[in-house]
Amino acid sequence: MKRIAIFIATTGGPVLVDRITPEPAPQSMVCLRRQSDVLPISADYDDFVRPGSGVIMREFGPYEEGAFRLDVSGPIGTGLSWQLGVFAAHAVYKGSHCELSDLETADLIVWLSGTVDYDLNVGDVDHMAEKVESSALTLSDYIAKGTPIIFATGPENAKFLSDHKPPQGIQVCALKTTRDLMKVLGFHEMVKTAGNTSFWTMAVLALAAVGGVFAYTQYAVTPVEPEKEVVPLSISLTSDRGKAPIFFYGDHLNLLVKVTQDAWLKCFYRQEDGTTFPVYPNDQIKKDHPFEADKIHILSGGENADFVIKLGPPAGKEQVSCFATEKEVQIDPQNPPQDAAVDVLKFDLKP
Amino acid sequence: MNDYVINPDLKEEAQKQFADLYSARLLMQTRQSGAVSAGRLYAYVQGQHDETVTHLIQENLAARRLYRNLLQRNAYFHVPQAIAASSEEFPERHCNGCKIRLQASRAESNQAYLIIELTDKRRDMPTMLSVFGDDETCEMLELPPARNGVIQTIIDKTSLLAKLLSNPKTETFLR
Repeated sequence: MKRIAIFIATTGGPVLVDRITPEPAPQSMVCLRRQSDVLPISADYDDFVRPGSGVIMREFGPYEEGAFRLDVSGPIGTGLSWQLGVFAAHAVYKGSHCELSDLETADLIVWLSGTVDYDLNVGDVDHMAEKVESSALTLSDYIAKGTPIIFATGPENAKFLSDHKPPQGIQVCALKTTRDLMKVLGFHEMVKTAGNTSFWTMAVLALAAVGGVFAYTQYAVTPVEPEKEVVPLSISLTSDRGKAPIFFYGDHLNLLVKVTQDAWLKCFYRQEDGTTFPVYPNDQIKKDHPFEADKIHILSGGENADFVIKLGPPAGKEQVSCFATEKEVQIDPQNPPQDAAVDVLKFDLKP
Repeated sequence: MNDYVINPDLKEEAQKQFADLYSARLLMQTRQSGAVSAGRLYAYVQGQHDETVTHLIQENLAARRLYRNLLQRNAYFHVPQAIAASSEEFPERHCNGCKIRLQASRAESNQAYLIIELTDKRRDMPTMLSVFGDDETCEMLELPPARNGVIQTIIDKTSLLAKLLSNPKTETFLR
């Protein structure tokens, strides 16, 4: 079960969607920190949920109860930019393979700001810079921790975010409709209605133009790259505990890798005693394949990964080296080809 | 000495005039005095926000009785008591055009939805719920705006208001 933390971006800081509960009440409400404080956006939320005026019941219903209680971690003022985050939260709530998460235990953090209209188009909103600024402190811990973070907004807002070069570890996704959001969240089957008839045309054009994706999952999402530059092949390797982690016997080594061009990958593990052995590809991999560019791939340990690496003796300073090449070639880690891109993850392994 | 006799038919109009006069004076001068006039209390019943009056009603039995007396004649809805005592934790209250009920929250077991359903969606909607216990205690709750004839908010089950509403003998007013 993938745990997804949904953040609604506000100028006062990111607000976590804590919980969604169907309730036997006539109206849906937004409550603060599980208390009886009802937020003033409740009326708009009720409209957003209600069949006829809203989209939540239409897209994710029917539910036995006619209303929801949405608990959030902080106040949300006026405006409608919460709609995208609330839509995402309901999608996760409905999803069979994922659930709403707190920050500490999240496999993925999705930060959202935008409106969602009746036809499921995602709209741009104001005050994007302030929202990012007020989120920086909260998110920095999780960037350091290595939790994948996605910023998902309308197209213009996403362009603004991309132009300002978000820190490594944050992927910016431009959402034209909620179908794009579903892909970010890893859902293909859930959306009942066609969000926008021009979606597929746009998606094909966008994919042809950029050939890359920004997403944590294996699904493609239209990235914001108006002009695709030819970038040299490089690779970044990290773990779900960051770039310089400490592991203990029995821990799983969860590797995340990203390449700037489509590339073949070879990874080697070197123990403290100098013993080196391949970890990717390995005998669990039935068919090796090139890795798609500009996308975080969970090499080991994730829900969709083919294998896990469980750490054991000997203890000491260990490392994993990953080599990326444009063509499939055999690699000697002591003498790799000159055109191979390489990144090394070093870590301490303790008993 | 002059005697002023008010025709009973004009009494309500006079009360309204005094309340308007009070509101006008309030606008002209912000100075607060310790005393609370009947006009000020009437203005409160009519919807004027006044923290001093709220406090006075909660603290002072005479003020509470006067407030209840004014509500009996000015409330939009008056439910003398729940129709019948039942085994339910919170009995429903009905009057002509209005139903008041509490519904336990699934998300939080110590909270309940206060739901006020109004039949006529075109009329003026109440903004204040006042509940009087049989021991003359009084709890008031400012209500959120009605939507589609429904006023809904959340209250703690341990609050005095919830306790009063769980007693079928309490009297409720909506104004």
